[in-house]
Amino acid sequence: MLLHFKTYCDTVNLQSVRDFLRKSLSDNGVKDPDAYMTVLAVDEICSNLMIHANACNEEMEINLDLLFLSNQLRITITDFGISFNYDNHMDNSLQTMVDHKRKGGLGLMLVKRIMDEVSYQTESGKNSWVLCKNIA
Amino acid sequence: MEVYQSKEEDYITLTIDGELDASSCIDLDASIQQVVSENEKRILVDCKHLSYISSAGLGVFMSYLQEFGQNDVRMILFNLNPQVKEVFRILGLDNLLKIVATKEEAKALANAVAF
Repeated sequence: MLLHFKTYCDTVNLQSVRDFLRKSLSDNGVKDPDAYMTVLAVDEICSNLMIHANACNEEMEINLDLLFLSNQLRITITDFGISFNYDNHMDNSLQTMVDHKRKGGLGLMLVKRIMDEVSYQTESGKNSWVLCKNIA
Repeated sequence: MEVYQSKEEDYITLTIDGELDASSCIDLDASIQQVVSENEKRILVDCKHLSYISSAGLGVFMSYLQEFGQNDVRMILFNLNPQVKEVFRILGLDNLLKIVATKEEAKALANAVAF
């Protein structure tokens, strides 16, 4: 089954993203903690796209596609904002972030620890994140 | 998301109600800044009604650690539900922040000789 959701780049829309995900996951039998953590991972990607890739421009859209496979959930998140150099991205240590009083930098770290597969690609101005979660 | 304040004895309690994300974390940050500006040294954070936290919320707590350490401000979180607590644990923040189960434990830690 494939489900689709479109939102726009204002962080107030994160609540509707989570609401859509919670209902979709529940309707398709995905239970906590997998559901809770999947919602969190998608929230993290969407908030990064809204704030960093699209500078909270409410006219810019983000599209989510949820594909439910027999034992895996595959979520594709696309936008047309500023691309991200995922291959060269390195997580900072927590201590470094504490020392620099940083508030950001934890999101992608969380996503990589929560999801079973994370990939990113950009092509012709379209950026795509694919997050996979193996479901028992 | 709402943040409520209550003052008792020599500590202040911030009660978070709702979902803490990249949009609402600004309100938590403002609440913490306010109590710091009022020179509060013992801050208890009641998370009983905190149903969801993303990295933006975690980042708010993390960003005060150094300042609080330097100024002997004690911030203690309590009443976390298991899923919220797990988010802290995944990143190892449960080792950097003071997290206890109950308000009684939080009050005891706020007044303990060793923090």
